[in-house]
Amino acid sequence: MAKPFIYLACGSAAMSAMLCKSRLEEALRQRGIKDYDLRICRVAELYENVRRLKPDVAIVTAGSFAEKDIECPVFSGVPLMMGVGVDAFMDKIVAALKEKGKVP
Amino acid sequence: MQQTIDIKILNVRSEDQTEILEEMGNYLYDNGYVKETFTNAVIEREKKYPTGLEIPTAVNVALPHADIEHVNKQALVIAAPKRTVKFKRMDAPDKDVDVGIILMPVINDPEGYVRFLSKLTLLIQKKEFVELVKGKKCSEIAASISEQYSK
Repeated sequence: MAKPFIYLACGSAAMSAMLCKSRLEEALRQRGIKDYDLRICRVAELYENVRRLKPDVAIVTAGSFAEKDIECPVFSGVPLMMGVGVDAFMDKIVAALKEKGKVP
Repeated sequence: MQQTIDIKILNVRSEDQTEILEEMGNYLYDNGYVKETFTNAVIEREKKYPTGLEIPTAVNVALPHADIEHVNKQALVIAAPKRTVKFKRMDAPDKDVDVGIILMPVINDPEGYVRFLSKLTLLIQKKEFVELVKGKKCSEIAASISEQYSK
């Protein structure tokens, strides 16, 4: 099984993406997902990165993304940022990864 | 090694979002924390990627910030304007949120700041945070954050 490939995007790849990264790593570990590819970029680069590298899901903490026609499921990273509702958020991420056949 | 992060609670006179961001940015520039380009970078970034957050358990906040190249030394500046200020929502940029506390993270080392920020996001969801800000209790806020570090 290929490993899950997740993109995290925020405005400047400085604040919220870093914050989300540490909480996401912890949440993935709790779900028993140990082997994955997690990359960070700026929101401005996301469309191109998704088109080119085809991640399974993208998590975004800045800007409006719904209308941008990004070619993978996109989720708001605010639950990760605030540490609230992380379980419900992870349910959605895991379901999306399952759909892509990346987690059992 | 963890850089120390200075915390300052600022009295702001303005009631307008941009003017408040200018007041906060000017304080940071006057005290050497940021470069001259910082304030404008924050204002422009806020327009493009707003940072207003609904905090159902306490007071709504905004976390305006700028890219690391505008920063000399890390800090956190907090302001509680007399009246709430409208910001756009981080997770829904077309929607407004009435913000009571503005937290401006001043970051040049995201890896080093992340633990601090992670504790801060939990603290701002507690009612006592509002009282700490109103009482200008910087050292208690710092203590509360560093106390959580060790846990």
